[in-house]
Amino acid sequence: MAEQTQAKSAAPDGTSQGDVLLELRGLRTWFETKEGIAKAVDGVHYSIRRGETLGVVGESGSGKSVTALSIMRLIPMPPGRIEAGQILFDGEDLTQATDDRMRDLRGNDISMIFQEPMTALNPVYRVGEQIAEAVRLHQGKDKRAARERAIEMLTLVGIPAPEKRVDEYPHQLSGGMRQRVMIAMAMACKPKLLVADEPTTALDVTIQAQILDLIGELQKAEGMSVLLITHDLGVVAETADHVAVMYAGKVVEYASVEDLFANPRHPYTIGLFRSLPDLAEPGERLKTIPGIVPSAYAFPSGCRFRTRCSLADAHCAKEEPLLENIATEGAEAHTVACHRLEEAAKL
Amino acid sequence: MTEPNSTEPAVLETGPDSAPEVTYSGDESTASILGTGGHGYSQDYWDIVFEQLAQRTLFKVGIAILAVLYSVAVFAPLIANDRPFSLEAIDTRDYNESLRRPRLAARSVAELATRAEAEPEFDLATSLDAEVEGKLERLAILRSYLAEADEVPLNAFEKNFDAAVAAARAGDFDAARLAAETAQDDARFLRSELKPLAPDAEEGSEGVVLQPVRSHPLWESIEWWEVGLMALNILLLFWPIWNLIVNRVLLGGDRERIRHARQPKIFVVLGLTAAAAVLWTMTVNGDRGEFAAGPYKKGLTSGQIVAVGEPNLPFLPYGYAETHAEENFRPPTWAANAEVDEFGRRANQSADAAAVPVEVLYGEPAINDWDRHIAGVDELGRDFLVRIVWGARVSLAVGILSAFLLTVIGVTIGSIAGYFGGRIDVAIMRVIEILQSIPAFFLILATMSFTDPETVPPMFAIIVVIALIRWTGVARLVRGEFLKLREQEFVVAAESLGFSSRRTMFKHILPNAMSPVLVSAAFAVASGILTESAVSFLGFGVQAPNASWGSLINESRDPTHWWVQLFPGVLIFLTVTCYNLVGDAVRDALDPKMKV
Repeated sequence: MAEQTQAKSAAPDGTSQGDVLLELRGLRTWFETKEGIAKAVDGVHYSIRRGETLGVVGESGSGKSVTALSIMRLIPMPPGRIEAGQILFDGEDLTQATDDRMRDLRGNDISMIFQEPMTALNPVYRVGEQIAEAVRLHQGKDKRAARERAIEMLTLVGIPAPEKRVDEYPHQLSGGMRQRVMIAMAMACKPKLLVADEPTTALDVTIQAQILDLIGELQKAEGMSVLLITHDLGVVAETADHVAVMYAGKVVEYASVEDLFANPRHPYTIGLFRSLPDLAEPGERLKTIPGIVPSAYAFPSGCRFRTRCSLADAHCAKEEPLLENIATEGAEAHTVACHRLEEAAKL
Repeated sequence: MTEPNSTEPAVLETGPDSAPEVTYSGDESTASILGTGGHGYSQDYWDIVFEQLAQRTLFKVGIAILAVLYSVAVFAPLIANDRPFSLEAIDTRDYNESLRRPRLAARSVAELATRAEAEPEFDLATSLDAEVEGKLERLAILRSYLAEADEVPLNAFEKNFDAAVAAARAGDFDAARLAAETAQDDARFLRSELKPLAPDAEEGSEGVVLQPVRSHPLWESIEWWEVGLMALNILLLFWPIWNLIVNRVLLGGDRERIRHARQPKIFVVLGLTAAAAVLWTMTVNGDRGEFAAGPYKKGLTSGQIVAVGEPNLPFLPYGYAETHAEENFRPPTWAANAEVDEFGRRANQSADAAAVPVEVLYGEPAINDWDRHIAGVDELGRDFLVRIVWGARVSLAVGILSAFLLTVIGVTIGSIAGYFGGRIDVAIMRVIEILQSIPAFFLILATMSFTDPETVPPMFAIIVVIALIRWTGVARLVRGEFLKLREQEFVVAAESLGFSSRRTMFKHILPNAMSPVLVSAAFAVASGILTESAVSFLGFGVQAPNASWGSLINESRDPTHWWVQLFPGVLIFLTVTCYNLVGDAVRDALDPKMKV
């Protein structure tokens, strides 16, 4: 029941309007383990329009990556399973798609890039072979054409002397170059959606910026959508069009990036912004959100953030807050799931 | 159109991470392992592995000994054989036999015609085909020895014979019998007309002069797969030399091109091997036949084969099944107590009333030469060194093939268990544990005792049985590697690109899991050789007259027959030790981190 009401409440958030490429409706991905059921993703709603970037932020363990892997259907099953909800990609429900259909989609319409460029490339193959393999598989190109496409992709991601690099092994490349190769691999078949799971976390800051710029440029050129998972608010501010803040397997706030940064409403989002180091007041202790993310095996009743929230009261423990649109009429949607919005506004 | 514009800045601002002109900017963590410094070029994994191996003396010694042993095994027919390489001779036995056959053939055509007349359903055509084939074969032998002028009586016979066959085929049995009758008369005439003239015959005696015929008995006994293995052996033996030449001359010493040429080189070697075998099939297409006990030495000794010049026999001029019964259990002929009299009796043996003189055949060393039987003689009087040389083929082949087969089985099952996990993994692991709880050697013995050596060659039975029982170790190893690699991001990345399970398993994970498999395969070869020796020693393995090192030890358990146990035993020990040395070295070399 709760699920249905939530799904209904998701409708007025405005995200189902416009040219939506991907829409998650009440997605629940659970893991059945000996210790019980881990509800890593427990009712997630968000959507991405064509050509836009959605940033998904949240602490470790909030379910960002599991959501992304659920979209790709790369959750190890068992122990994992998609318990409920829909993943609508281009109107097609991926939770119902066959394995063959998913293999067709993966790498072709939906691609993914990973956090660790050091381990995400197969050490025994030349980088060109790795890029060409997906091209040959999905587009049926022959060896030579696929190799040419690989060189083209390496040029596109800004690797110098691509004719030479195409025959090198991953260990011969630096971390930033490897991430570029990863991007080239993911983009070789011109996907509609690129899932980037913390693509810059393992890189140093100067290269982070280059990689983000590269993704942005390619996105503009190819017109694809990007699902950018990160815990870095700075990255989100720079690249995302919309932001979804996740906490304990749920989306707690969703808004356009300008709106969210100007006017965060959920106490958790506010806490996240507060914990950023402030350049204006150097030397101060960082403000943190007390406590840790609750275990996915036993979320608190009612609002899941209440155990760490200074505003929580008895009502918060009793009833789970639903996502509600708080934007003024006509403005872009800004949805928040909190019972104590007025108090939060005063924080 | 926006593409070039939008990517241009990205190319220009590739900062410190791309460094276009630095040869290979490997990052520090790999550079320390892979050692970019000092060489002027970056090494890849295999460069390092080869370099590591080249530094290990024990590895080089082990490989050298194994190379010698394998070469001996592969070239056994050229080293130990009772056939001459090349022979230009008149084989009077063969000729006389061929002279006798045409009459018999003509007679059986007449009989077949009579039978076909009596039994309408009798399959006449097939029987006639056999007779015609036999006739052609014999006439060809006769013609090869005869000068063209002497062939006239043959042609007369053939005409009548062919007429008889044609009539029989047409159903005119009376005409067939009549023609066959005439052909028989012709054949009788052949025998008197074409009687060979003995080389020492007096002037004016009857008979035709035969022409010597050139043949290559030894080469004609070599089969296509042996030629393939010989080609492979030569290519691998001279690998350091031709590899150096190819790298220097064809590839100009360019590291990058050499690295790319690795795979093509393997294909070229395998291609040349296959080409040699195919070429052999198309030209000589030799056939060893049942036993390597060719009649050539006896014929040359007794004078039934009259040779031009002196035909050459191999270094060890004995067949692996050739017996010299009078010399049974003679010690190695260089040993102090090996001297015998002409009846094969040693100094301390009493005179035997029924003594038969020792046969010293053409091409063999004299009776008391040091090299007559270098490793002694076995119970039936077979030269032991020859049997060791031929036995090496079985022992070494069983080692390699059983290791290959068990690795294939183990890798496949282990990959499935490790990749899919869950219930499949649990089921496979239980099967492995059950198999491993039974002592492997007794299981192999028990299984071997149920295989019939008549229907399944014991050598292949042993290979299959070892593989079916010993795959569990490799499977566990591979499963462990897969469980580890399964969690690596490149595996998830492969799946995220839409690759199938099989592709991900065998193309992306397996190559990363191969190094421990390679090492365990080297040890598996050693253990396969030992197992085969033990099984053969207990009499369940290779059956005489074939030999393996294990079955050779079993030839005698009498300690006075020391050579029977010593030589094969030392060779088994040597081979197993070398494989263990090589396996150890490969393990260390494949794991660059272990050196630190």
